[in-house]
Amino acid sequence: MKTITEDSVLETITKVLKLKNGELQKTSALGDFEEWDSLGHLGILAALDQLFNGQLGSINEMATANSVDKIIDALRANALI
Amino acid sequence: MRVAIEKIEYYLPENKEGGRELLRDNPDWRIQDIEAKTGITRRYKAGIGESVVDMAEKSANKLFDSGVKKTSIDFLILVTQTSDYILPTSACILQDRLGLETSTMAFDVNLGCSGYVYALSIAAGLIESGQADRGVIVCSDNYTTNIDPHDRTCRPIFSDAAAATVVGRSNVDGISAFDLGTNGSGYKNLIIPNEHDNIAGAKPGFLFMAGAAVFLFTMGMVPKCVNSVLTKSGKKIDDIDLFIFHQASKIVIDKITDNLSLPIEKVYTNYQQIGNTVSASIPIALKDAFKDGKLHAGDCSMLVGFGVGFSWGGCIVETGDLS
Repeated sequence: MKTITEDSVLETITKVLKLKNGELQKTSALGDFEEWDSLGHLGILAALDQLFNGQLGSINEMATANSVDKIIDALRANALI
Repeated sequence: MRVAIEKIEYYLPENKEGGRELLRDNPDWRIQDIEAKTGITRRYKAGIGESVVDMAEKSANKLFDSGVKKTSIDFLILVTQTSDYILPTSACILQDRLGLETSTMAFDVNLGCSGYVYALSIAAGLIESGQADRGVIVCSDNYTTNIDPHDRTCRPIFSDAAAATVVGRSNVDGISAFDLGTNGSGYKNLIIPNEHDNIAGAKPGFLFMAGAAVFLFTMGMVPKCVNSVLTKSGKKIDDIDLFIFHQASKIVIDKITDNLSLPIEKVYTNYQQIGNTVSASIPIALKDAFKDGKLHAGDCSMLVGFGVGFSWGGCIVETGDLS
């Protein structure tokens, strides 16, 4: 099974938000970029769900994970990265 | 005893709202971006003073105007969450307005986007148990009256409408394989809170939706519901001619389609021009699918509703031509 790293998560979020490489930081959060509004956040969740083969819906912590840090923490706590 | 959907009619209010109206009230909103993500370019709004019962009456009268006999109706189920009054039951007011017999059993079902499938299950139970031969389900909501005009999560999505369905005895097994469920732990994520509630980001009296939580619930639960209906019906995805999901928004339906690896042509959508009309969205989509030539008499479709509660329901439907 392909290993998904923290970098792949950052790459996915960067792509969804149409950011330049390096623009997204681990401290970045919902509201920090024009594209990262409530609808943009759903786009991030959809893309991450695809990256993790439909497993995101079962991660309760993801419902309140509104920053890169929190998203990574939630994925790590569920042994997905 | 077998049960089937016989007829569907719906009513959309005269007031329409597009991107221009959103931008007028919210000059900082990027409308093209919002429309690209929600897929919704038009919503309907109940007129000033136009209530849930008013809309329900207009949709149901279309049934009776088209030849359905009022005396043949044994029950009236009104699915709504925006009832005219806390009490009395809106279905009672509707029974009187429609001129239905006083022998009609009439009651409300307080459910949102799963409500139509729940009402079909109740209707099927009433008919199969011999308590009734024929009845009407009306789904009617005016969520927009409880939406803050500056709420970017709710306003671009929700729309007002009413849809009326006749359900009756049949020679074919027209409604079957129900999967119904609830997870009330998510109730705060889609709510009109009271004064005493303390929900971050929510205002008393206004619709609040925690979009991420609702989206995650949908991604996790809807595929399970679909698979459960398939198992109960003994069918495979290939056996289903058309999937009709609650018309939540583009991002939600696209994700469900993707997670279930469904062929796009097997998933019907009409949210683009109608919006998310809560419990009315499935019957409206079912009728439109016939009108658009995507469904034909005898075809097999799967209906799946999901949302506020959290609550969900799915079933298999086979009907005559509903166009």
